[in-house]
Amino acid sequence: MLLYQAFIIALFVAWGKWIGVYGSFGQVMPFFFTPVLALLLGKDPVNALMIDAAIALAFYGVMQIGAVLPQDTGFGGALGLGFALILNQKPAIGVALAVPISMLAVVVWNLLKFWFTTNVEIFDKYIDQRNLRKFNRLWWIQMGVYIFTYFILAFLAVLLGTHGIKAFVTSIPKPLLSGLTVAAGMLPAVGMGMLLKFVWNIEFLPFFIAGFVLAAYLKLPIMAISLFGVVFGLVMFFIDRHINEVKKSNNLSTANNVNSDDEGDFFND
Amino acid sequence: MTDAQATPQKNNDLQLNADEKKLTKRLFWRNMWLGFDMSYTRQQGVAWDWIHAPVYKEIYKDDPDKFWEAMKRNMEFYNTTPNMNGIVSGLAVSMEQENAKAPAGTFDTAGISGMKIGLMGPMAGIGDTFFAGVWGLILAGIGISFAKAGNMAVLLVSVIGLIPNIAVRWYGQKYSYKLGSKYIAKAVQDGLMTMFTKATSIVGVTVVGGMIATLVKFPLVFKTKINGNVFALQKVFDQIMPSLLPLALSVICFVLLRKGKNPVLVLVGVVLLGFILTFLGITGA
Repeated sequence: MLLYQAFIIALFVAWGKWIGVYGSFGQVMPFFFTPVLALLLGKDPVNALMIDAAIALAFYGVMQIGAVLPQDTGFGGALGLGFALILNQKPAIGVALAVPISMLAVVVWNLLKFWFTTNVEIFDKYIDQRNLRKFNRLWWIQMGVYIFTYFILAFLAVLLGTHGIKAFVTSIPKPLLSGLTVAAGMLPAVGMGMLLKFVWNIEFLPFFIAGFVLAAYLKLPIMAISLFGVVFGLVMFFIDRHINEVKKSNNLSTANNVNSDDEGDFFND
Repeated sequence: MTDAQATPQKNNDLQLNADEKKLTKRLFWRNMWLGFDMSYTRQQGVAWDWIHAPVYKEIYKDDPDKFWEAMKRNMEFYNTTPNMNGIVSGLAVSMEQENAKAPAGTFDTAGISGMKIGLMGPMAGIGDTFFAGVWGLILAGIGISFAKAGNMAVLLVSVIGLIPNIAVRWYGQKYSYKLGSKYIAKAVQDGLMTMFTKATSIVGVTVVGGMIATLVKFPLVFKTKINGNVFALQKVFDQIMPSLLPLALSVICFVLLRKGKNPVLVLVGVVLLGFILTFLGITGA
């Protein structure tokens, strides 16, 4: 039974890694495959969605900018969900497992990337040798190792770790569990901070306040706030475009009217 | 040439002939792979070459020297948001085709590298802000609110999420391939890209403001009796401003990160704060 569960979760992790990169589809498809995992494990898909929502919340706003990956949310999230499902645990347990795993898993990516970097010279060599077949072969080997690494790691983690984690989870005392729930609720603040750091400009302060007020006082749902955001964005876009056009026509007229300006000065004198 | 003559030609500009269709389709599917094979030295350089190899092969089918020269030339450093790469890729391929047609020595291939280096930054600026930031954020936010309630409508959210991703990939590549560099260069030069990124950032900031109030939880349970009156800490804070503490916590995280503190340290700090306050009986689940 555990073997089957480990295999399914490992498959889910590998699939997540694949879809996360291929076309960046994973980025815009949160939760899509969660019910499938639950069904394959013979668990309640609705409950799985709730666990996954709690995990997604803890990771909310954590994103890969450029090449820097602060946490491997894909790997950590999938394993946290998987463990919580097979051990029939609460969402808070899923979060408690997902966060540390995501932090550890970054090491794996860094090692893989290091290996990819050493391979660059070999790719260069194949191009110098004009050998497209070997070039493609190395590409597919890298791809296979990339996916398989995560598959095998998840497989072993579930197969060897489940008993230990079960013992750990059942021995968590009540106050620790409520501390965990509170901490999980606070975690989105870190993601929000990361996002703000990424886009921040003091000119955006009014929009930040507006978004906060719309939610805190008017209790609007996220969709409505997003639409307000689009309104603000469009207004600023049109203002900027107008300023840009005025600037450009000013530049043109000053360039054309050098002579008339001289005349004006002459008459003013 | 009169306007009447120019118009039908302009329409033809956007029509792909059979060969071009095959080429752009191939490019579209291969471009899905850009995120694989990141390296510290070249980032997506190797992936770019693997993606374009069959296309270059088609373009330079009569001239293996030029093909391998193009492969070598394109192994350079490259890094952008994968979703946006269609635009750069379409342009690069149209330039390579010009290179293939031009007599030897008349086309300066440095222009292709220059275009790639010049565009990857602005494209990543928009792409990271829009896809990784705003769009992903909104989708996850709506997804979380559905998933929390166990609502299967969350599956629909994902499907809608794919639309801009695919559209930018396909139409971005098609138009940049057909319209050529001057339009894209003009958009960058006119500041259109910057304005668009700014508008997108504004959407993001507004949504983040809203998310802080709805998603960050700081539940105070501390209660005491003063002169027979119940004194509940949460109520006091709510009277000052709803969601005051989530806001304060998020702003503190933002300031720390902006000062260059390690995100992992900030994360651990927040977790510790949650535990300590709960043990002290101030917060609770």
